[in-house]
Amino acid sequence: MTQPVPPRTSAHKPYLDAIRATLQAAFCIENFESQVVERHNKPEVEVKSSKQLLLNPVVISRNQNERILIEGSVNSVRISIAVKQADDLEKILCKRLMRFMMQRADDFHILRRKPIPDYDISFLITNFHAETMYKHRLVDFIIYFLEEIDKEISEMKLAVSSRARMCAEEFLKKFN
Amino acid sequence: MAEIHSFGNLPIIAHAWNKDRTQIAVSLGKNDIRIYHKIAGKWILKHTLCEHLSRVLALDWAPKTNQIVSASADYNAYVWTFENNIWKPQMVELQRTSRAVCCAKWSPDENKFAIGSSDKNIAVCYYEKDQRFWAAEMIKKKPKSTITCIAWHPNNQLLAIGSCDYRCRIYSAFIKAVDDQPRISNWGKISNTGELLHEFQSESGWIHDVAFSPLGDHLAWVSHNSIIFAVSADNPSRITMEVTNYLPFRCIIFMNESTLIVGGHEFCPLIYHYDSQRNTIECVEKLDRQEITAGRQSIGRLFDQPAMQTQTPEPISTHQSMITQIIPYQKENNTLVKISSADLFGQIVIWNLNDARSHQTSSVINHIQNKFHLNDGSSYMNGHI
Repeated sequence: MTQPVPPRTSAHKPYLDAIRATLQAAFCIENFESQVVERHNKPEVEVKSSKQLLLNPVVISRNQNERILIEGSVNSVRISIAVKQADDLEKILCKRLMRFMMQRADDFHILRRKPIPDYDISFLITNFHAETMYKHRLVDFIIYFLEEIDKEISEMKLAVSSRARMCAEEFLKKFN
Repeated sequence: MAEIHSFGNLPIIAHAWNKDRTQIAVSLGKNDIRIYHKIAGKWILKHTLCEHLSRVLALDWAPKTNQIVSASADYNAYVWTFENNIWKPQMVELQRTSRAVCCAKWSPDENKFAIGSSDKNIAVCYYEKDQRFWAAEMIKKKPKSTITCIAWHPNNQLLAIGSCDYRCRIYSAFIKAVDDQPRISNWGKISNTGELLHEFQSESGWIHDVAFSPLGDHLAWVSHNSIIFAVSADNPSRITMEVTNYLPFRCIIFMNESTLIVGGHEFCPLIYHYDSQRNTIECVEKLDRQEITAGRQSIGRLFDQPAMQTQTPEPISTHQSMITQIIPYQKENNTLVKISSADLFGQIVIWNLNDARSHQTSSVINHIQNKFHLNDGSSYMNGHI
């Protein structure tokens, strides 16, 4: 039996709570056959075939650089995340990390291969995913992803800086 | 005590019981309809009806005539009759339907059924005796979007239709070939097929389900903006709304003239009381009584990643997923005694409405058993790799 996990109070909590509540409402998706093409079942949020099947998109932002866009529809949800990138090094690391994940989008199931313009990464969740996966787990995953991405990028930045420092030290020893 | 039946991990899109509740027809998200027979407490697969080419979206089993109507995404509907121990399909001649057929319901007298489809068509179908096929009469004044739900009035001649254009409508489904005389009901006089009697607006939410009360005097529907609407025949212009704080509901059914049961994304059926005199809909209670105990929470944590600091609490309810359909299971002098609800993870639960107020004692054990069955240690996928 594991210990009960103590809740971590972080500055992000109201932001994440708002995202969690919006996602729980947006994930109320169900099977919907296409009205436009016979025998097709398309994610309406991607096709946007008729206005009445789409919900209003919601943007939740902590500041100009950290935003999340949630677009819902009757049978699919598209979530786009803009990750905080403070300097050039973080920009490069973020771009590479996102590209790494998006190239493996098939195995990821809910990831979209291209992010929406203005954002760094996008998820597309359809009713077929909701039929095989727990909804509350999907919400937890998105929140977890948001928390962890920032940590990952900071760790990688530290690793790059320390490695650069060590390389420079070794190199300049020759000239001592 | 709620009885739980599990049909594997596949989503149950539609289900229907036969007359004596020994057989159940389910559509598990595939192209076929499976009929299970209950033998010695276990469900054995008895028949598989494969005639459809796409997902079967709706099923209805007529208890008296023992026929099943099935509607699928391949824009066909079939009526199945049981002859010589096999189910024989007969295609319904739906001209002009070129999109998926989303819902199908037998009328109370079972001589006709109604079909709603994605190309905004509603058809009332009856059996043409001379030519021996199922003919369809389309309703001319079409809604502007996909039809999501159908409900019959108990007088066999009125239809309530809910669709994705945020409106609920009442049409007359009188067919000259089958019905003898247009009957007068509280909702108005009808003279022809397909007359639009009333149209109700639902404030920009897709209508998920609509239901008539057992005597036909009240109509209620649920929409995607988490509002329950109800209207009474004696005053059709006054719509009662109840804005709920729950996630949207997907099904609604009347228990008796003034009590309704709703179920949906909230994973648990709720009971509401509709008072047409005072124009209110009040929540009575949740059907699912599960108690939170420390034991269950720590077992839950065993399967959860310890790194995730903030977590949604596990839903403590019998259903672990969205309820797709609630249909009546047992009736006693005009009041529903038992209902059955199906969800997306292959579970069908039969609720006993009589002891809804009494405490469920073995619910904790039931819930832990369900957890071990559904949660194989993989957090995100329901046992799927």
